[in-house]
Amino acid sequence: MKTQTHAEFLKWYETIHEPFVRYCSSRAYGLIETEDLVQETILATLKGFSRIQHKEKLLGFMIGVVNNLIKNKLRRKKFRGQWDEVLLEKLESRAPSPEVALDIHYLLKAMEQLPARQKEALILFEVSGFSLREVAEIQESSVAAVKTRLHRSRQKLRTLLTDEGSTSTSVSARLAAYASILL
Amino acid sequence: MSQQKKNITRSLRALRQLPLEISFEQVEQWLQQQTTFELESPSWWMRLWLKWGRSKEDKN
Repeated sequence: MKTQTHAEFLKWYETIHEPFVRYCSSRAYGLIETEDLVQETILATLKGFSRIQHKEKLLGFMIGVVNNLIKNKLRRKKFRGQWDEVLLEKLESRAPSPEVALDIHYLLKAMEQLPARQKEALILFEVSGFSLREVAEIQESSVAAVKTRLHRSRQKLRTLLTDEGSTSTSVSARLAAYASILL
Repeated sequence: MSQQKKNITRSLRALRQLPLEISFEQVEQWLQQQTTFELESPSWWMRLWLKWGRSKEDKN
């Protein structure tokens, strides 16, 4: 019975694997390993899989599970935050260059500070690659509301990523981070 | 487009193009291992139930 459920789940999951993992990767940054978040989400989803009436909405369901898992971990403080150097090292192994890794690092740090719905919309649209209409369906909103969230999230990111913004993105902090990668 | 907007757009594109940390095949394999583990290692309540079932058969 369980193998049947797993097989059916995998059939639906295969089509959403890439955007889902990209979403988890962005949400998990600095909090939990992406692989752990993916596995915990799948296990939680499987528990309620038979009750999901419209399987084509699986991604929206799983994103809700991810959001709740992250929220619970933050609330219970049952996570070990990783040092920036460790995070950068991991990113560097996947990015085309240390400079790109650093840019992505600061971007992800800034994205953490966005309001929840804006963060979700931005990741779904810009990182997971969904269209405005698809993001609206996942968020159960109108396209207009999604556009507003995206606009505001980009505005907020511009504020956070200027030298006058957060101290974590100051010039001296960036230079120190560069030095830690290169030395 | 301002330089700042271009930088953010460029960073978002780079983030989107990073290789995935876990492939679909790895998820499939991991899930298969979960199922195998559950089938080969019955939980304590199942062992208890089996034991109860065997002792009832012995009585009969």
